[in-house]
Amino acid sequence: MGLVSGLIGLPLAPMRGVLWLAEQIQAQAEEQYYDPARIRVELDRVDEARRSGELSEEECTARENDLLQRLMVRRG
Amino acid sequence: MTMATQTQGGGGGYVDRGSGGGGGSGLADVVELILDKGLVIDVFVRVSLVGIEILTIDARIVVASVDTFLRFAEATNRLDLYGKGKGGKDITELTQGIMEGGAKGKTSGALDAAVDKVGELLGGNSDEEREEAPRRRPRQRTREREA
Amino acid sequence: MSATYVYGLVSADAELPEDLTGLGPSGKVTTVVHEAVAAIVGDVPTDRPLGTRDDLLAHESVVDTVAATTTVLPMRFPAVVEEEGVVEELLAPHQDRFLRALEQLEGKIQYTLKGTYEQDVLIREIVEEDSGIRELHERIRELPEDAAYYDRVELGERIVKAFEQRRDVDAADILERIGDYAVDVSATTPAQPEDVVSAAFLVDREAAEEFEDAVEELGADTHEWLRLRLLGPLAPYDFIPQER
Repeated sequence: MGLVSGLIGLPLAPMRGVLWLAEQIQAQAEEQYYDPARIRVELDRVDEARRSGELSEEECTARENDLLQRLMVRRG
Repeated sequence: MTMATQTQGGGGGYVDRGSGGGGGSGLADVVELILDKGLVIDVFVRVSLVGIEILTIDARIVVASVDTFLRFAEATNRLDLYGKGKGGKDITELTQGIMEGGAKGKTSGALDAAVDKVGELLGGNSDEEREEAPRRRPRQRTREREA
Repeated sequence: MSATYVYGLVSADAELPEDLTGLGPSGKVTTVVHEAVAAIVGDVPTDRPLGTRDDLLAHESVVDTVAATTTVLPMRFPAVVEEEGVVEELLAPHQDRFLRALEQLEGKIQYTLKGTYEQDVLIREIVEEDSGIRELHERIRELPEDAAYYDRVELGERIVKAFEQRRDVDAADILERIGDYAVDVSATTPAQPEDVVSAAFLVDREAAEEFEDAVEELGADTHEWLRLRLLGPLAPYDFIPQER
């Protein structure tokens, strides 16, 4: 399947050009930024930093709220 | 949150306890419990009332990336496994590390473990001892060090 | 019309603890009863969207404080319904389903156990046991950092693989050791290479102490290479019967 669609798509690839590439990079960056799994990992790290005393309670709280914002998409 | 009660006696001490019910769990744990799990009813699908939509994880697995690999490579290099090389640990830390490393594979005391470990460093192999490890008795030393 | 926050469901004769604090402006938590089932409810902030850290912690705190003494079906966050809808849309149409679930979970609570390797201990062990990794590691040490980029990626990848191989053995071992104290187990795939196990255990209330002791004993035996974190007692988040 992948091979067939890959072959069909191949001649079109150069036409998509630089813009396409830029969009891909942008999309990938956003995907990482909003990737729930990554956000969870970061929440874990904040938690660890709190327990070890590496970050103050206030800093941890602020970071956690930031991370949650990324996890929740506001609508309308 | 998730108070580190593990060293304060009480329940015994080697397990970090988050008691739930406000006293305990960290936000990361809470997120996992109440955003991924729990009862969902059609009535609540109308989230527009609250104006939020939550990104949930279909597969919890973070695909191992180059970043992850580099993180572990760095951790490995940082360990200064042979007691020389750049930066880092003083001899006490190193010795302690060696003891900890050895302790997993051996049932003997700390000193023996350290000696064994040196032996292993020189080319031994403790592979088949892994299975036994969890049933080993704990030693007082570590508890004191943590307290 | 006003919005109502629903934390969870209990049987109508359940008694709630007194000291519950909700996420709404009043902080009050009460119940709305319909025949044999009741919803644990409170008010909702109207001047801001839900979803702060404190909202999440309040939700969990209410649910798990109730769970400590009585069987509760926890709602997924955020559960908001119009006030009139609590009975008409939530309780009345789904009563049978809720009661079945409550009955099934009666007298049981959940614990969640997470285990993470002591990273340094495990890396030492891996490097010692695998001569290929050891050689790679030594080669990298000879080279300046940027010259060894691909070697470092490879080293990290091999370490990660070794972690995962050990995890399979150790996770099975852990589940086997304490699984017997639970009536049901739900394990999820760990997210990070150093995570060994993440599992929910449904435990009879009478066996809770025994279960906790078993986990503590496991911790005592493994603490040099494994960090264990036990959450609970919790509401049975992972064991809500699926229907639809």
